[in-house]
Amino acid sequence: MGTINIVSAVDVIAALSNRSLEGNLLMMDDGPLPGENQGTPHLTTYCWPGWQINWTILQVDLQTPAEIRSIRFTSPGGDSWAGWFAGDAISPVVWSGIVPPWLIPGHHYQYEIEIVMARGSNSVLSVQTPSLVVPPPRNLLTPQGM
Amino acid sequence: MSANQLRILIVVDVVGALATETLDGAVWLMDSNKTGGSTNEGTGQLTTAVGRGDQLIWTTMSLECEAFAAIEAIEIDHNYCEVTRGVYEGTDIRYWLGKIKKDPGKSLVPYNVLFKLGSRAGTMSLSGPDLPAITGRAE
Amino acid sequence: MTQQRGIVIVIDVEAALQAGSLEGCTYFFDNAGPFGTTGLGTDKLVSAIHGSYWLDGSQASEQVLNFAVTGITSLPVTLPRDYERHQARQRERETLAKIRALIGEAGVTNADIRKLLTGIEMPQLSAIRSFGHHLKHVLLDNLGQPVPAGAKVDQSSVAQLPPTITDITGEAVEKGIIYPAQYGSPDLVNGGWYWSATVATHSPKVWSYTLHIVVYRLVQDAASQLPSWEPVPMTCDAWLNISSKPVRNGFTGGGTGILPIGLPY
Repeated sequence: MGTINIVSAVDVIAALSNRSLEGNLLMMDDGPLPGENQGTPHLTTYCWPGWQINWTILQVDLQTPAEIRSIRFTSPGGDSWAGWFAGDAISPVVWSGIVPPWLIPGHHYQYEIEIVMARGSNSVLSVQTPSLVVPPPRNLLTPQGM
Repeated sequence: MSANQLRILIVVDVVGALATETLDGAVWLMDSNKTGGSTNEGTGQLTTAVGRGDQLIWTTMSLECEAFAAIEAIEIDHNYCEVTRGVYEGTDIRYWLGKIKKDPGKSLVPYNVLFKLGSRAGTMSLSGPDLPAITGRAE
Repeated sequence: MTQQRGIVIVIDVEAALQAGSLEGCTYFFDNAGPFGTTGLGTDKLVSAIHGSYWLDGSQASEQVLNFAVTGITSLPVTLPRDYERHQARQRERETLAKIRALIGEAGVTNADIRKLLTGIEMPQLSAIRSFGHHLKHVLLDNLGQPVPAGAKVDQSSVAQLPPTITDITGEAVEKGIIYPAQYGSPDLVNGGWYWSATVATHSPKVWSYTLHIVVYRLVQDAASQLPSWEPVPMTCDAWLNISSKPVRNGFTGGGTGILPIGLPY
């Protein structure tokens, strides 16, 4: 069983200036099967049951605060589980977990990632576009590949 | 005392200001005239002691060296102080000059400063009621 | 913590030289104001450092501190530190261009050339006596213009040579809580050097450290040829308030578990 790291790089000052993560959040993963949309908030990461996924964050401007506040997966019923702890700039929260065995291959499990920068009304921004996918079995692949 | 050049430095926490949408608690002012009677050094309510003919030079710096901060305007009663904008030769770093035309004596003449921060469109200004000010020298 | 802390120290050099110490003339700042730092804008800075430990007790994160020092009457830190050399070169280029412009002009006499040459404005140099070196430094006024040679100069009419940090010592360094060092950087803003320190967060307490700072006094004595900047070493203290919390997993509240995906509810 392996590990996949999903790293989010955020330009905090641009995100706070424009109040948006679009263009200011770069997500990348190091999985053995390269995902799509690397370097954007629309990252699709390929993973397998039993593998561990670690989410970390890096600020482009090193002296600015940025932490992952929460990662939420929406269930088919529309509910989401936000987790026990909201991270912020001073609480040490680690976001990692094991991919469960019951995921449907080929289905994009989208998640919302919330980033908190500093303290204040504008400090929390999120994107809902990254996703995790278990690759479908090979005989279901389209001729163009995945 | 003869006419002087006085520096006023404004330190800004750009990230704090952008996140809270206010400069409250995110600006501190200091000047080079502590020995001449200026008070509230290191706070947002700096009161600079001046005399007629003095030239004030305002500049700003950000706490985080990666963050952009520039003074866009200084609003002060032009009967007391006339402000003009300048640039350090060969750069786009600004300074603001204030020529003191009238001695404020015992009264406080407050002023406001408008900033451009980060890549935020528009400006942010200090919010009252406690603004920095100029006042006459304690002779 | 991936965020690095910036600690900015602003010094009223004239007041410090008058008082003989940095007390009351120094204004400290750091970028953790919203996160618990106290003493901003004063000479009693207590920086909030938030550490963390793993569930087995071992230290999970360290903090990096970056120090920047400037004088109130120094030129803005956003200008390159060798700005005075840039300005002197600019003047030289302008003068050479004027001389060059005389070539090919019919009717240029020796008197014209002599007049131009006597009108050349040389910038006033000063000497910096520091650490055994004797550096030449062009004096700039408070608006960044070179001071003409021979002009009477005093500390308030020229841009103050920025103070420099020479060492960091104290309880926090002796006990291995902070590891300070001077780093070289290709960044011209600091003249290529800045002080940085990593902070071990395993011992929550308020720790003190001492900054050794050299401020420069401008002296113009009759004996020496040039006005010179005399280094005056001073010290000031600051504190680190270190706290530490256990690292928790955001999904489970404890250790690593199954990701909450694809749940039927």
